[in-house]
Amino acid sequence: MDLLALGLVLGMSTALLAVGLVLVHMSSRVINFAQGEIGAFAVAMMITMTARAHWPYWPALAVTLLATAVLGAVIERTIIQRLFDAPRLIALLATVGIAQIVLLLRLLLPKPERGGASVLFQGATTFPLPFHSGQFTFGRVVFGPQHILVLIGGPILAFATAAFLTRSTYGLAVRAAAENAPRARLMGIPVRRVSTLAWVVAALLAGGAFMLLAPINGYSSADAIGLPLLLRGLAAATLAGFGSVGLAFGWGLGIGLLDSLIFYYTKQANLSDAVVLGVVLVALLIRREARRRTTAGEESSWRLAEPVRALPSEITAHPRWRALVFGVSGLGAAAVLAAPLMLSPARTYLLATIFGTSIVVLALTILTGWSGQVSLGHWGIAGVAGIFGSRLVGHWGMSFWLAFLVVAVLGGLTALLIGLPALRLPGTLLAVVTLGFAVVSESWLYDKSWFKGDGSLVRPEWVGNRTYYYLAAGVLLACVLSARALQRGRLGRNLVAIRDNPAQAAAFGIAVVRTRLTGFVLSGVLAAIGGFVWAGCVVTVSPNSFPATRSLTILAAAIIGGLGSIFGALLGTAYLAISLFVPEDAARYVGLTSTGLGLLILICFFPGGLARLAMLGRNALATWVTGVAATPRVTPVEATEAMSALTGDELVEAVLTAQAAPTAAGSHP
Amino acid sequence: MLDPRLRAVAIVNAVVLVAGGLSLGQVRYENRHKGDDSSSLNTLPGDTDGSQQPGASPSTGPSGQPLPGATTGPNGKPLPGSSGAPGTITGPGGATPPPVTVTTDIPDFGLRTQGVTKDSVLIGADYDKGSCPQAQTLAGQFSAQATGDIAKSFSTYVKYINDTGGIRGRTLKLVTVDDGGTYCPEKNGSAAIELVDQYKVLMDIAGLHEVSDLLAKKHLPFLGGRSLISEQRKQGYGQFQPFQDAESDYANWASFGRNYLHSNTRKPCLIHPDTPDFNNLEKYLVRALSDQGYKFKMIVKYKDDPSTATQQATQSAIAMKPNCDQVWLIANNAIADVFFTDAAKTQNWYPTWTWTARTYLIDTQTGGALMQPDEWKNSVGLTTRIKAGASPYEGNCANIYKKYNGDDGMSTSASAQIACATILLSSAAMRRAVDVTGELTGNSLMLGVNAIRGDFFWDATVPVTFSVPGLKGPFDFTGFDLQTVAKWNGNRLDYDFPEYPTYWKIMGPGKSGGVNITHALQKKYTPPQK
Repeated sequence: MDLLALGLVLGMSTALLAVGLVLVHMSSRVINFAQGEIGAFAVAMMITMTARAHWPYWPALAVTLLATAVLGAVIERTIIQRLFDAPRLIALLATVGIAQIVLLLRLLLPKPERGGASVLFQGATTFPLPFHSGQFTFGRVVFGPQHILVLIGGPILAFATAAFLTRSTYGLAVRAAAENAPRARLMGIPVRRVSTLAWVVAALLAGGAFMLLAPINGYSSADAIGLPLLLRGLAAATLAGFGSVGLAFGWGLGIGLLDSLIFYYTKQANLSDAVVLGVVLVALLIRREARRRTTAGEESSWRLAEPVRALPSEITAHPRWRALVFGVSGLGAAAVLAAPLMLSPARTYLLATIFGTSIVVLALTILTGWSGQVSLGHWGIAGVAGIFGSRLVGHWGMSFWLAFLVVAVLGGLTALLIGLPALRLPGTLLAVVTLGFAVVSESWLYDKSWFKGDGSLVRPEWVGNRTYYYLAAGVLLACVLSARALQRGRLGRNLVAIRDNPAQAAAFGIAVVRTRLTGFVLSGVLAAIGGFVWAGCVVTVSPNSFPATRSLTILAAAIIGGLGSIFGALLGTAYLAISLFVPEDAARYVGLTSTGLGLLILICFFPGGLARLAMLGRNALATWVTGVAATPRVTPVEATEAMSALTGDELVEAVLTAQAAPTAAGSHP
Repeated sequence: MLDPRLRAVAIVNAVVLVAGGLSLGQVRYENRHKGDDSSSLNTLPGDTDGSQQPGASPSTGPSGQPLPGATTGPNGKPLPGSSGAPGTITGPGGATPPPVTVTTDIPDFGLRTQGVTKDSVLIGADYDKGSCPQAQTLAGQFSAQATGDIAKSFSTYVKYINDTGGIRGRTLKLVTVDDGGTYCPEKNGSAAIELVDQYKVLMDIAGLHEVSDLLAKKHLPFLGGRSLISEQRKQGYGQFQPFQDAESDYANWASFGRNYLHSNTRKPCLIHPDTPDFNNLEKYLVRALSDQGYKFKMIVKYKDDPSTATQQATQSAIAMKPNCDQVWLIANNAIADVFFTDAAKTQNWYPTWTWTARTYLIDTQTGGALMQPDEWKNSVGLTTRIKAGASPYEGNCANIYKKYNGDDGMSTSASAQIACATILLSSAAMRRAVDVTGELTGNSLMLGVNAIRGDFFWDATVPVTFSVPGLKGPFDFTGFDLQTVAKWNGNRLDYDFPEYPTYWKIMGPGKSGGVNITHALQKKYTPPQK
């Protein structure tokens, strides 16, 4: 019982994090990667007020909560509102950037000093408490005032949030907007203002939760809130369907409790990651959930606002345009072929690694761009291929080429294993499960003696630098051609149909789950191929080579490039790789563009991604070269198809948008 | 006549073609200017082609290692400086005594010789310059604010070396490359290629073992790298570092536990991060304890992620409290240590905390000062530190830095300390290599390294010794033997050195390197005869 009580106290962090994630998801339909950072900001602010400015507890708490609420409002008004109509994936990526901004703010806050130096981290006992009495021993555990504070304050925060959502007018508005934003707007609910309010409440919740737990957990101002903690909150929110604060709180406590017990009895931290993921997978497998309107709307929101369209046939058949395309393509091919002869060995090597990365980004494009599913762990599948490939070659003496084929199959099987529970159900489950897979792979799987190799993926002796470069380029080309064939084939069309309107696709006889799963498996095969090509290039492979965080970078490349476009996948990878090729003096600053912060700025101004920008440039060039208007014309047949792809809610949204269009900006409720 | 638009397209194509060609030509010119040549084009990390040096002795293994048990070099001749004779004490600021050139045969360790001309010596250094594309982190972007300007620091100490004679008349030159940090294998690999094949440096100051592993495959000498002798031996000659090897450190620590902390009669437990590196190190510590006849009652592996490690601190304290009265700490940062000691306090538990040089930050005054005095009062460990104020060279690094940069507030920064230690050490080794052998090559550098082990170099905090791969090979080095006992004094927020007089008597100026104080600590447990 004593351990259960302690588990409940420590699990409160997961529970309250999950509640905050659900709240933001309700209002903005986005997974908020900044939730933990906002909470950590509140802790930093509180420490500044009490340990640096020496304010008493309660005034410091009031100012801290006020600052945290303002922070939530500012984030929502300046960034989330700007992306209100953007695809949710863009908003998700934006929260990664927001997390970094908040982290920077946290670092900039004045720190308490000890011995003339700033104290960047503190143990639990240095955090202020409103009272200091009430210590008691229960079994093996000494419960102090900080534990009592959590046991009282945690449920109060959760119940207050639930009461806000169920009892208050604004809470009802949040729920209404979450259930169906267009209809809520028709009912006169100021959806955007409600979104701001939800972010403020979520920020206060995060701040309150982190301040409650800081006297137990201690505090570090220099470290970001890591993915493992976020994963636990996301798991709880997912199991609650992102729809119920109470359920999220309960699942959060349960996961926290399980986490505590596993660590207590095994003394191995990383094992608990694997068990938590296993529990989520099993829970999803045995769960039966009816499709709700909310999740249907949410699914459709993952797709891009505007796809990259092909040019009209009048242009593509035009001799001048064909000459230009032929010339540029030839130049590009010549550049790829000549690069190893002209570039330094280091840059040739880097290019080869980028080819491998591009294949993984391409795999994600197939999954997310065409199938409408989100993976936050594709680099994890690539890692399975790289690490296990090194075992096949180094430990078992398998041929490099045979290992290439084996890991491709393994990538597909891995995707099947992950996707089977998650793809049966609607919503963002796959995102959470894949993130969990990436975290568990890095912390647990890659280091298992039965899985890992001897730390390097050794190529055949005759495959030197230049040879491998050409091989990697060839594999990338083959993958691109395969993806194009897939896109134009039946499976590709079915995937897009399901992405656009699952219900209608099912009505046409498409097996939704099976098609999605097939898409994910194919994506997993490609990711594994990319991971193996990449590992064969860098040669030295370890768990550090495949960190879970890089999956977010891969997703960023796909989004920045322009989801759904093969060319966009290559473009996005190239964008993130720019910093590898600029002079080192400038690399630090150019590298900023590939961080979440840089990406945030980019997507705020170009939410359509680089492929969209490239498309506009291409259209202008095509018009200039051929004299034919390049704006893709929508034929009546296409318009009918487009209309039929819309859900009822989206039709309402379209009507509202059309009504609002002639009026001045700002007329939105 | 061509259509004007078609002509425009043709012109655009031509311009693009010419511009592209010129750009590539420029890149090629720059590469050649940097010393690139076609022979290095086929070299990637792990490639074997081109990395084996001509003249490698057939009596050595692929990596140039001698046979186990050998006491001479691969060529069968005694090694200069291998007798264990004390190395010379470097003067303030690392200036060495007047050169005494003793030309001797140089064993062939299979190491590269490059980067040395009659006028200059080119060495490299790799560190994270922040160019690795990572969406979820700002690593490297703001490192200067946190740790100081490493480029400026390196440049400062290179100037100092050149102002004090260079490398026996040669100008020391340093090229730095971006290794991208731990989670950027692409940049790890390109850094190794740039250093070895492009810039052709004599040696590298390695920031990551991910890079030094690749350098070892290319037979380039480097400072830094792996900490386990078993791992070093796999890589062959070429590695040296200012830290002791892990096996010897743990052997000392285990012996210290038995003979000083009496852990064999107590309940010792271990806490370390649950990562491949630390899980591997754990095996060696457990083995060392076994050699001493005792073992840990409990081993707790916490997640190396601050946001979850904090929770695990409380759980660990509760789990360990009834089972352990000594807690052994291994961590690569002080954060977890602070959390664990603090969590123990919340559970009214005050065990004896112990550590060794592997737990870097708590081995320093700064690290110790982060601990709460009441919970850290029972701490006692093994350290390589020297009592503050005892060394004649204390403050060298900071003084040198200030001499060249004024007081910009970064003279004691981590960057300045790292640059000072690595540049002064490397330079001292190169100078001694010339003194001992009359020339400077990859192979002779290792003799220079061997000759200066045990010397003092910077800021009085760490006497330097070197790990070299041939534990039973040409070097007679058998582990790090220069440690003393340190206890935290919570009243004055610094360490006490209860064993210090003995230590200093042996380790003081003019006495370094030659005497081993660990005979008392390294005693192995011998079970009583029945």
